[in-house]
Amino acid sequence: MNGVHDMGGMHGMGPIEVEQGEPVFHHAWEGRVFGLRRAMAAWRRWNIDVSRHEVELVPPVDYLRMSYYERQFAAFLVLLQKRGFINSAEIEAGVPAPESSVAVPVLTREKAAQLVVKGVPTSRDVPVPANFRTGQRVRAINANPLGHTREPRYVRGKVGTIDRDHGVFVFPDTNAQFLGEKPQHVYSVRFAARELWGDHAAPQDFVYVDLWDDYLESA
Amino acid sequence: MRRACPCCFPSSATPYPPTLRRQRALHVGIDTLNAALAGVDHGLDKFTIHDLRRTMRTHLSSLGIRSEVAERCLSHTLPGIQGVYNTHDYFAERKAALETWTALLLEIERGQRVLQDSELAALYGVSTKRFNEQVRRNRKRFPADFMFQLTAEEISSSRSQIATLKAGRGQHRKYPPYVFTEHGRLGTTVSRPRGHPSLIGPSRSAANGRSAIGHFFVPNVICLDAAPRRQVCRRTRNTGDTLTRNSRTVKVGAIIFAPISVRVLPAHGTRIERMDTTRRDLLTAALTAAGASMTANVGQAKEADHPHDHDHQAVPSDPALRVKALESLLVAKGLVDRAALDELIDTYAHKVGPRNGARVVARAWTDADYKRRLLANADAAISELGYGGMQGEHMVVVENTATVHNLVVCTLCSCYPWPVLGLPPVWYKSAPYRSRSVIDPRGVLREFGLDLPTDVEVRVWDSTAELRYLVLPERPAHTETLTEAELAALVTRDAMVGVAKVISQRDVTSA
Repeated sequence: MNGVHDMGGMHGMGPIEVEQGEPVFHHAWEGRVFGLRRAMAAWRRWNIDVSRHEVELVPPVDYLRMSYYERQFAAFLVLLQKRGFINSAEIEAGVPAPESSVAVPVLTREKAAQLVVKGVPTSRDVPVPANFRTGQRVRAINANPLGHTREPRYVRGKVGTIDRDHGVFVFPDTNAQFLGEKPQHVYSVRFAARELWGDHAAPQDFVYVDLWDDYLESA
Repeated sequence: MRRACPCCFPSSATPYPPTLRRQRALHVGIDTLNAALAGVDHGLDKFTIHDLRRTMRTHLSSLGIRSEVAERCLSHTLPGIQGVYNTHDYFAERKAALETWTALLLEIERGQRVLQDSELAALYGVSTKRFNEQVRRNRKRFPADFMFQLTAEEISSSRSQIATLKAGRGQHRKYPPYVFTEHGRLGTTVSRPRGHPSLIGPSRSAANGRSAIGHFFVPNVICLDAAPRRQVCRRTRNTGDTLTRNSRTVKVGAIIFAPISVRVLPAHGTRIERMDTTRRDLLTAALTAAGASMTANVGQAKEADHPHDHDHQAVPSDPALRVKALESLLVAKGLVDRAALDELIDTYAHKVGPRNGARVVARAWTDADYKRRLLANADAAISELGYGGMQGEHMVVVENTATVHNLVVCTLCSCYPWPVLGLPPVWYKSAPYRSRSVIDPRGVLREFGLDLPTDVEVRVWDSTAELRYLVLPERPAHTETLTEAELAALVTRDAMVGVAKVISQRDVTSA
């Protein structure tokens, strides 16, 4: 979706504010949001693309106004309801509905430690042919899907060169809608800054964007 | 079913919490709430937002809430050594306390507490007949919001609660009883020059007589469904507002109005003999008596909003309460194991951070073969040092040289190589950095104090997929004698994101 989250190239967002001695979490609740999201993701009723898209669905005015963890929490609350973990009555009451059963958490302390170390790889070891080879000129397709996509607006219709082939990965556009992983090659595509931004940009600068096969066509 | 606390659980229809502004020493944005209060017709001359805290705190005590719980509701630290050793957050207790407080506010909104003429008369030691005689003689002093006569319907609905029926003939009341609202009661200070109650006259400036009335205070004499008609009427007069049923303005006025009138208590056992002071004077007097000073006016509240001297912990902000409530719910449903949460949080708060990446960089600087492996297959090389995992499953390392400078960003969200850098700083996730890094990387770098010559090629890496990028900075000059550990100590997070260079200690000294 052409949401406010797709910020590359926007103007007017103000200066970058760097905080010296910044803590990892500014408030305890931020850490809890961080932990809760991972713990609930372990139920595998959604994937990383679904949860990313839910954050993108936060209304733009709120998205810009909120802090990072406020956004995460807002989207998390919606996701928990959409995926049937909790309902609005339980949110209101703060206690489980009378008829609800008590589950056994899937993410234990031991499994959390394993999760940290192993992560959740999104590469897929399946034989999928690559549509492009290193050094080939490609054009990022001009597409404006309503759903989740990881093709940023600023590269759409622009021509670049395949810098390297990262291998086969889950495709976000379908994965975010539970329509399958559709594994395919991801490439680092090298775009000249001038191709993206015109003469305003420095001629010797480049932007590398990771793009899936489905986002690319020959140029 | 138990009533949900609206303080802790606002409607799920609005799942987006309000912005958490960077918190400063003050409890609330002074410019917002105090300014807003100035526009509320609360019937007080002067009123600052801190008065609400006092109001609630006082009520929590009168509601029987334990002192340490009430103090934590205000985010006051526990005094002395207690505060050092007792780190319990009193969440469940605070929730219960706030629910009790909410219940009181709802009660105040929905139904006025009143005292019957007979009870008031008993308080003053006179007969009801004589008491009402005095009231009738001073009828002008008792407008409808001070005193009114119960309707037949109200008598009927309240009878079972007040049990007025007495045995024997002539014991039943012939006339509907008068009832007195807080203002009415408070104003009925009595002197007895001739053995009869003489009503000095109630005043809107009167404080609550609850301490004087003590246990005579009778809650809920009028049942809830009978009350609203008068309620709206009285509030309208009280606030001078054009209030209608279910209006939010009514609520605001009522909540502010009622508790204050309850809060300004005379010292226990003291009668208020003079009723010609304003309520604000009473407020000031009460606070002075309590050893607190009063803010002179709302305009000066910016400096003096917080006149007392004590410590606060972080304000229990809306997100904090809501997150905690959600966590409790998920734990209660068996969906989340708190030990797992603690493990995750502890890992990223204390164990995983840019020191990991610095070790990788220092190794690459000192071991040419390792550097070759790192640039060819970052995952394998990084795992040689024991790092890897969540949000670093697929790593790429890009090398800075004299002619190439790399910069990492995630324009779409906040992708960042956790295993080697930890969780990203706020600026990395912020709109300014995400928006401008790709269109004006040199401008961004200048903001970080790095002005690159034009012959250097800038490469911006936008982390749009699941690849995570780590910049291998240039090894600074004059570091030939340093050990790997000493080199690692020079490597900063910013250098590994690409917004800075690594500088040697000698460079720092000479600069």
